[in-house]
Amino acid sequence: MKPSDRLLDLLAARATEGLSPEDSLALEALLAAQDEIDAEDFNLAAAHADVALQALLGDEEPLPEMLRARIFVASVEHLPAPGKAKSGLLDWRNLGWLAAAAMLVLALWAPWSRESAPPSLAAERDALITEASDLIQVAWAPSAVEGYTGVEGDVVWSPSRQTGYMRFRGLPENRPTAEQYQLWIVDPSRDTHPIDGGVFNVPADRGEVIVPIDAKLAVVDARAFAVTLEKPGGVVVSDGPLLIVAPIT
Amino acid sequence: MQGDLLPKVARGDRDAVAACLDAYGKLVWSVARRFTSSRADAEDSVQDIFIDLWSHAARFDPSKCSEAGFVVMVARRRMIDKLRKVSRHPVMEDLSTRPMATGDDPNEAAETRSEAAVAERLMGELKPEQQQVIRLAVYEGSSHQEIADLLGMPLGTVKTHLRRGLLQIRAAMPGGVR
Repeated sequence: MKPSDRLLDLLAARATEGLSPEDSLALEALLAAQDEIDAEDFNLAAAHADVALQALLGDEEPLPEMLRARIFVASVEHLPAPGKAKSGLLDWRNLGWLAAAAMLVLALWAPWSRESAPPSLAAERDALITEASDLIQVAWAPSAVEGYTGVEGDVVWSPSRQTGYMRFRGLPENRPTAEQYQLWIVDPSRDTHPIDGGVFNVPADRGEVIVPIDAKLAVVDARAFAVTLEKPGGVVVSDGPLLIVAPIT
Repeated sequence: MQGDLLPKVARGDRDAVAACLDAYGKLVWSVARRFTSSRADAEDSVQDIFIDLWSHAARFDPSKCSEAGFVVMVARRRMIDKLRKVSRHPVMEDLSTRPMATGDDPNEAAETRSEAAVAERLMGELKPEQQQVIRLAVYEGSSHQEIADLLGMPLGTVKTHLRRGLLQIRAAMPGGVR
């Protein structure tokens, strides 16, 4: 049945000024009675007109960078897990069969899986550098703190993945029972205090140490990474000297 | 690549989220600013829109519309619903004196410019009265009655121009009805 002008007017109104509850009910009833027009057609047409008018009228203000970063961090929490399977298909009556099947799979795979070790931190770091399109990589600045003047290395960080790694050469060994290194991420958009990036230890006689960053809060706009030496387990707010710093310029 | 970002977002691809923000952030920001009376409201709205977009990403059908069109549709629907809830029309900045764009933004993706060019051509094919009504209703957020008062047209004529103009645009889009 050909859509009536009343139906088309309601669709046009919904796409531009919205509908009252009464008109929404009327629209639903009219839509249910015809199949000539897609309910979204006018919304799509208005959207395309909007795109055209933005271009014609020179609406050129970009999304503010800080807002973009804030949205990105919030978005990550709302995304489905990559490759997440649909749930709800489990039938409890099948659990016995599933358990047996799982045991069989484990028996078949176990000897092989033991041979494939998890990727090293160096490999994970390399993968992040290769794959992250928004990678930040900054070197530790020369330190003036006694005992740390020869520390070298860098930090890699992906804002979109909220993942990163620190790499050190020459960072002195710590005694974990007495003190631990703690990473801080300076992010002025989040708080006046830097974000806790996790505690870590440096063993003796290791040429290069790679440490994954363990940010306790979402990092929106990292400006610098800094390391302090704190009591075991770390502190919430540090008053210790910044031993090494990697500023993001 | 622009145009296939939303299916990737629907699969949880974080890089696609970042690419979406780069590709469509400006379009959504424009919608949010026009439908709100303060910058703070606009910022909150943009975040809501994108979260909404991620949850609807799997519904994007490239045979029916462009990705940019889908994104702006989600943005507009969200803003119109929000305004309806607070029972007021959008408080928009006066755009009537804004000059026409004079050139391409070099930072804007080529496909977005192409998308805009196609949409501009569609607008250009409308009758002047239809263009005027659609600009006021779609871009400036005027109610149909406000447009009638502003242009000195009967309300029924405003509705007719809007209805026919939008139908003409839809007919020229992918999957459009004629």
